[in-house]
Amino acid sequence: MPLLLLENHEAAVATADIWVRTGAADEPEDLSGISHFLEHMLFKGTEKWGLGEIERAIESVGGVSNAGTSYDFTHYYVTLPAARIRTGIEMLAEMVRHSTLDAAELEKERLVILEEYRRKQDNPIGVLYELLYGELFEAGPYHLPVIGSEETIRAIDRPAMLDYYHRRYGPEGAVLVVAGDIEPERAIEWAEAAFAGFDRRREELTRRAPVRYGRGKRVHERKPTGGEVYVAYAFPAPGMQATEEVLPLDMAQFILGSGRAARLHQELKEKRGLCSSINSYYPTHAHDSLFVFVATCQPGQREGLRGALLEELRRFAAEPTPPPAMKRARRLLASSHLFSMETSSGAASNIGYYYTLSGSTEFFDSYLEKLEALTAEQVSAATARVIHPERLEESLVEISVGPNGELKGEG
Amino acid sequence: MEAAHGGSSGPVRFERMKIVGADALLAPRPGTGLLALAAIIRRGSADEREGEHGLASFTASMLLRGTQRRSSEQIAFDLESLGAIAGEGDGMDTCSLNVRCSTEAAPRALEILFESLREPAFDAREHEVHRQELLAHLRMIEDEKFSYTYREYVKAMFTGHGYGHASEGELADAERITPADCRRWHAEMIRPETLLIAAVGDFEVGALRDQLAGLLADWPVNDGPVRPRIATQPPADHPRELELRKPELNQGFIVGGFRTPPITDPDYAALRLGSAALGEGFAGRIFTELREKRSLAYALGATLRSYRLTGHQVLYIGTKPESIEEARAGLLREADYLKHNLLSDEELNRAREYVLGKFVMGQQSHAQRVSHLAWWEDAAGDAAEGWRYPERLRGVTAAQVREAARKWWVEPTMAVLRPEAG
Repeated sequence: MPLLLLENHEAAVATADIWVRTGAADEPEDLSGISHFLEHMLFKGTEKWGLGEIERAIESVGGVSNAGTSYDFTHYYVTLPAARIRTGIEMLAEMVRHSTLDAAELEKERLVILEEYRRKQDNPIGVLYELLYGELFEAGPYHLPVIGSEETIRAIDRPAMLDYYHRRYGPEGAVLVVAGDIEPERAIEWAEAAFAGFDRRREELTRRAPVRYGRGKRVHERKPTGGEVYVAYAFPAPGMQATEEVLPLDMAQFILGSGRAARLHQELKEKRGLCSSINSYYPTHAHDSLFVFVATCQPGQREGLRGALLEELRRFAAEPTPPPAMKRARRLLASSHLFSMETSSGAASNIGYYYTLSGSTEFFDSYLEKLEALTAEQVSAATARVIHPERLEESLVEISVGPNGELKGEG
Repeated sequence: MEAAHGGSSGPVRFERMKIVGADALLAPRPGTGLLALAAIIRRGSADEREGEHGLASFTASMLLRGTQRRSSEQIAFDLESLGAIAGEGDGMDTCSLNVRCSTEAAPRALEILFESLREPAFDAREHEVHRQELLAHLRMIEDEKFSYTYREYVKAMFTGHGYGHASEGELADAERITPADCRRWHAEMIRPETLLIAAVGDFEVGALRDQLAGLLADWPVNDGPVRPRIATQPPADHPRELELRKPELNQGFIVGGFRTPPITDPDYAALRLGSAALGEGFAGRIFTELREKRSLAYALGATLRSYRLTGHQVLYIGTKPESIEEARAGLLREADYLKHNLLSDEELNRAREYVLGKFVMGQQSHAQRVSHLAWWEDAAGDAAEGWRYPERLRGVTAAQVREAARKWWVEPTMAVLRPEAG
């Protein structure tokens, strides 16, 4: 199992973050949500530690722990006063290697996850993203929500979870990142001791169905809100495996929708008053991804916003971004990258994320250097390959959530 | 045997000075290549008079929306082209403008930041754009259960007092505030003498002091004196029960709490550990009893919120509608437990180490250190109080936690959000 270390002695804090390359994208449909359910269960006791003892042990030495599940990975992290980072490494090893997945605890945790599910259903943004992934990815690994459905959450049983745990949590699909105020030699020594003998063989669960993208859709979900409509405009986009496309699209995202001077923020919100917010996102999944604009507006603004957005995107793909706008996005992207590395948890998260998705540290290590060399033509060309300006409307999937349901159904 | 480490877990070392009437705390961190700076305006929503609600926040939001020399777009473009990330903050006691940038970009970024602070244009069109943005923000609070319930709970907790108004105001406040109101608030409230400047980063103290002196000099002359802070300590608890309803909810939400004293109070450290023992982290009583044992909720816990002159111990839980009463009783039972029982050594130690650990973790980035300095300086009257805080925590006994809980956690104010019937 790879071990990645990053020293930063600014504060006496360190983070251990283990990334397992398995998530919702790996799940068979009838086990949708099992990666996330398992993530909860890894805090429910191991062969050595009883219920609640892991959290108590970490917090009793001043640490915090948590975890996250996505489509392509699940990760578990512990941030501690640096002198106690060994405890964190040992706890993560225990959780990943020796969780008991106790049957009674599993039943209790199922109820907690159902509460998490209800919480998401009450949140317009949660509903928006669930619909977006369901409609844009009509089939394949990103179609179903990470949390699963109420039916699958109720149906997942212990044998299935044990099977998933043993087949997916092996050293070849994992990476441990330790960042912060560390001594590398000691961190290596502790990690080697904690993971010695970890040789569980990792297996695929099912053959992944290929992605089938939805295109040219408009779907509205009626939901009472305080008055705003939440809208997402999404295009199919390459995932992390198309490494050369990622950086130009990161830049496009910053030019268009990150920061107060971003083009869409200025043109659509500030100057034309067509929305109350608009941002762009490019979540780089491993295989296939999406380029998405998320806006909030009043119900009566929706048509005008769509038209103006499409117009701006056509113009963006047709004309290389002027040097000042390139400079702004480049500087902002670089400084966001630097600021995100200031905390040990931020650094561990960045390194682990890109390593898990790309399989090496090369992308992360060369990010700022490549950013400097990127040209406006490369950004326009990569964006055009995503939005297809000549058939923009047919490429686009528009999802909205809020009052006023006249757009319900596919357009 | 654990390794020796090089990182700092000690206090943020700073130099205190007056710069053209403004208080400044400058904390150099040589070699980092970064700077974070906040200009804290020591006036907030608790200092608003009747009829002014939302004005401190609205005015702060207008500062980066254009000056006499630069448009709103230009300010954003110029700052972002430097790689600087700037923003404004609002609160009960203070508002702020803040920036993070590279050392190289700092002189230009600070020039723009202080121009925005000194000479905002309060342009009518920009005012309207912000009004629309604020109205949308207020509507969107309704869509997030915790934000909505918490907001209503705070208003109930401090009803009739300066701390009982949401800092961003209500829809009617957003509709009412004019550019002239903002101009007046700026003239009366935003002056060098109301400013606290906190900076952490890779700078030489003398050089930064000189630059700030230049930026603060010749502050536009305003008529009349600076308006003093008018926030006062709220009167004793008047517990309230608030029933809130929303359509089509799958889950209810409860936010409750007790009035607590400010951080300068001798009971504060004990209450801070009481909060951690009660419901912070994954090993606090609320998590253990209500989530781990009874599976009542996913989102639940406790947090101690502090303002300059008061505070409150918050408890919260989101649960399915049929479990609301059980969850409500559970929250209060756990608070009650701490009032009638001594924490075990293990519980007390966990709470103490948890709070101390969060204290160190909360000072990793330059911006976190700036917040830390500014908070202690304004709330405790001396940023160096933050240095003594870990010692205060280390001295707390189980009996002190119980006594403080008995004294302060008297009658709860509760806000309960439920789905509308039918």
